[in-house]
Amino acid sequence: MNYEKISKKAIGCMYVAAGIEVLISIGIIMVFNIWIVPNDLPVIHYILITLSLLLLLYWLISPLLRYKRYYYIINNESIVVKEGFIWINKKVVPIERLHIISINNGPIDRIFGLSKVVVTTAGGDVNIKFLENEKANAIADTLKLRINNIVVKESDTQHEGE
Amino acid sequence: MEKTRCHFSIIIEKAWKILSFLIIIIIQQITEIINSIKLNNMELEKVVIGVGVFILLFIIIIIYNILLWSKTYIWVEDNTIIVERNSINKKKNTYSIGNVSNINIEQNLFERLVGTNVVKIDTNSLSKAKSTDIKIIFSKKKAMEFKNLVMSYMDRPGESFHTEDEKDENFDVVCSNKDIIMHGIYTVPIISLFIFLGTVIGFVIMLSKVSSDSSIYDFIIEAVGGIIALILLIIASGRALVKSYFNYYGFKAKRSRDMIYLTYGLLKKRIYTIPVNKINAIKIVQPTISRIFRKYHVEVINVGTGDEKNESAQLIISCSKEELKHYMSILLPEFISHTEDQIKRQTPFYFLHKGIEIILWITILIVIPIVTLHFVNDIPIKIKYIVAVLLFVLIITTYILSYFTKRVNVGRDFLEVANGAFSKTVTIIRYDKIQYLEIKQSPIYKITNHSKANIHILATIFNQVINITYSRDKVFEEIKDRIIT
Repeated sequence: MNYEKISKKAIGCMYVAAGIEVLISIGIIMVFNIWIVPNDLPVIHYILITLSLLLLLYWLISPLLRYKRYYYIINNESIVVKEGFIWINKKVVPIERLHIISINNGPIDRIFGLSKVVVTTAGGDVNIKFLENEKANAIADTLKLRINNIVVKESDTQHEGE
Repeated sequence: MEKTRCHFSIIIEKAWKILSFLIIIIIQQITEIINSIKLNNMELEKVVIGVGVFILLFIIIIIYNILLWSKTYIWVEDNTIIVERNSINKKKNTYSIGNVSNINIEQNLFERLVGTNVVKIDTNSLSKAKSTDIKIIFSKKKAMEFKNLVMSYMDRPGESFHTEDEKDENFDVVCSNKDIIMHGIYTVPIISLFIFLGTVIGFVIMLSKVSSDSSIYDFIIEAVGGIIALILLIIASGRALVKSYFNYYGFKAKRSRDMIYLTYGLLKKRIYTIPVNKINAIKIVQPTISRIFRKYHVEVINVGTGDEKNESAQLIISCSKEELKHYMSILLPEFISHTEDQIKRQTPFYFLHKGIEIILWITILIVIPIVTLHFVNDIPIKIKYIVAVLLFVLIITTYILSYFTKRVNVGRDFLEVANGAFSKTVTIIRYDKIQYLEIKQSPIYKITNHSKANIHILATIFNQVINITYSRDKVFEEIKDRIIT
């Protein structure tokens, strides 16, 4: 099987998204540390500072690891998307179960010229993220064609049955 | 079929629902309203105005519902059911009969008096899985005619299922009153039983401490709290049993060609019609008490059964293993598993993987509370350690039982997944009904070539995701191959 890697622009996109998450989290921790936790509990202060440093470390490492681990495969039978940081998550969607294909891009995606293809089945959605816009359009078109072929094949089988 | 309206009693039913809501609010606020009248020395005139506003509001609700009723039409055309509403917001919904996953006919006490039935129709669609798609009220005769018409489009011409057909001999499975009462007992949550037993034991201990010299009056005064708690718990436990009895009263099921018919209910009577090919999976359930007595009940996973309050997807109520096999062979032979005895136990790696989780729970539930309570001198040290030991035993027992309960079997026709610890649920799913597979792997699992997974199927929200326990990677590769081919 040929694994497809995502665009290198994804690293920047991941850094910005993770950076926003980490900044908000550190902000909340600092509010706790400065205004809420009493000064006579130094242990709690040290724990919160360590937590903030760990979050910074997460911000530095996680986008690189996520990028390295992210891949997808699209073939005639299925779509496979593998991603994750510590836990690796692999989703396998049989092509025949596809109902809807859509392309989404949020504000951070748009800055980097990226999109995600959302594959909807009767059991929920699976996303192929961090695709360059042209690539996302090409994937969506290919999948739409496959869905159409499946529908035509099913309706032919039904007519033959009648 | 000509365009038709719902039975006019729908106006009263809908208006009554809103009115009862308003009455509840007024009853809840009644003391405040009376106080406000007293405090402000309100004149009778103002009270009359208040009542007038309430009546006006009720009249508006009635008029709105009359308009809604008069402008809503239902009809069947070209293999579709069409529901058209031309009120303030115009809408026309068209449902393909080929996608109907469930036809349910219900009748509550009011509808019995008026002589109507509610026809509920669900379609096999994810976006509509959270609630019933079509809910219409017809006279009893019209409801049956409508149902038969829909079924004739579902390639069931001539098939009929009238209330007159509800004689026991027309059904494959008929449950007696004893079966229904026993089902209620077998499915009582174990936690309720423990609380009940705990209260009874506490009450007995309290009685033993009452001095023999005390008068009956003193005894009642001393025991009043315990007696009230005991009575409340008996009522609560009894309520669950009575509710279960009322729900499943007259439980009957039959299989006719590729349809399953279920009927049950005392105050609210239900008749389900489920096409077999729209059943996405089944669950063989053993709550803790059922497991102790080796009893099983079966639920179907199908869009439309169990998506509303008090709705159940029960196919077979609590029975023995032999009865289960017999009933399944009649009602749903497509889902009979021939591999149950071949299902392998989990690998011992389970405890290695779960070790971190066990340590985490022991830390959260035992170590942290003990350290915190160390500074609280009011609690005797003996009690602290008894509670800690009990919690430790509970955590370890849960994981040991879950090791013996959880398992997966990749069969030829089905995927069988067992979950639980004290209770047990075996879900049997056909591969073509699995929408997608989600495999999860942590670094520790990777070292031992193990993963865990979720499978996603088309079902109501509670059944949409089924967890598969830690298994070797090759098990998930096998599942992947089965769902793709």
